[in-house]
Amino acid sequence: MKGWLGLLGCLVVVALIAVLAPNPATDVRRQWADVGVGEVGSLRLYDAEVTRVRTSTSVAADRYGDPLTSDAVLVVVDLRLRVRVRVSNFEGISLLTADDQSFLPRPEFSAAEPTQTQPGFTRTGTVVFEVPADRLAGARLLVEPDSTAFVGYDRAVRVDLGLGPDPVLGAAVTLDPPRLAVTR
Amino acid sequence: MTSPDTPTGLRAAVSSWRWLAWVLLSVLVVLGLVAALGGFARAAPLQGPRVDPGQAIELMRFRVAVDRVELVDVDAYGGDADPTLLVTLQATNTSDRSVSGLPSGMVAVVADGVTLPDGYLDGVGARGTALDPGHQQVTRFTVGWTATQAPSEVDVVVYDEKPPENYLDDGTTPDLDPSHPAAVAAVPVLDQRKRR
Repeated sequence: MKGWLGLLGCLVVVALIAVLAPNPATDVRRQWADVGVGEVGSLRLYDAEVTRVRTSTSVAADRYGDPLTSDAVLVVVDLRLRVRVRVSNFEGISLLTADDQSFLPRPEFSAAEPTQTQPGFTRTGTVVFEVPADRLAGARLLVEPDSTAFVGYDRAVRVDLGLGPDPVLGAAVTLDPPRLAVTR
Repeated sequence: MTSPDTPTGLRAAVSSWRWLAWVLLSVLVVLGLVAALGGFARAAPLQGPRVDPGQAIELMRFRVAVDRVELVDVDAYGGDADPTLLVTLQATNTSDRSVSGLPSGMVAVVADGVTLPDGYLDGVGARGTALDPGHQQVTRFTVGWTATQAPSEVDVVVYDEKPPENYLDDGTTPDLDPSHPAAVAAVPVLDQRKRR
């Protein structure tokens, strides 16, 4: 009888954990490194640095196609990523506004995004976000680890892009393809 | 050795025929019940709240308005192409995260009660389908038109999403709900064909 009660108690505990525990897919715990533009933040597998932030209303993916024009603001973020430990794909890059809206890089410019890189190499690339002008102030770039089968506690980098409420919109931008160099 | 109670020969055959009769009777009863409950009645045509062209349709993650429908026979570069219905939509992502576009199957075109097959959503010009939070942009639904006569009007049907029912995934991406339309817009077709 005592054994059965013990089993029942354990089952109740398991049911409580299943009901009350946060969804690990939506409540991802991170150890954030907060940095600014031009500063290096470290993830477990690579170091990330935003080297330049430009804002414009017209961005072309290359010299041949039509540019994408916008009535919002196109935020062009140049990245330098130094891979230290293991091959990385840089899939966890997003822009988070001050009111917690999450923007992904515009897929029209995927050819300029940083691509898979082996340890010992440094990749430079560019991501472009389209953000309504009134949401720009305080926007941050989030660099999170590539997703794996089990999402656990991990380190990630949060970069204050230094954008104010009235960004100066620069000239039309033409993107360069991503580059690779041996890390020195 | 056979026990005296076990049917053999003709009796066994009669017994198995009786089984078959029971099965057939059961099937007939089930079919009769389905028919009595209206299960074989002709399905009602697609119905949903009627909206006007340009009127906003509020969905779970999106706000969609059907701008116009054109019948064209040129492709995006101006070359000749098969006649195609182009549905121009204004789409806004009202959720708090970017999505790669309106889900496929969210929009359908019905002409004379028939849903046109093989339509797809794409962007316009240099712009793809991805929708960022709070930014309205043009998305286009393209579907082939095979009749020579242009339709005067088509129904553009928009479906909504529902919370996902798959408890194994992370529960963040809704499923499309194709059971009933969220809205139906009757839109006049602008015939822009060069060759008729």
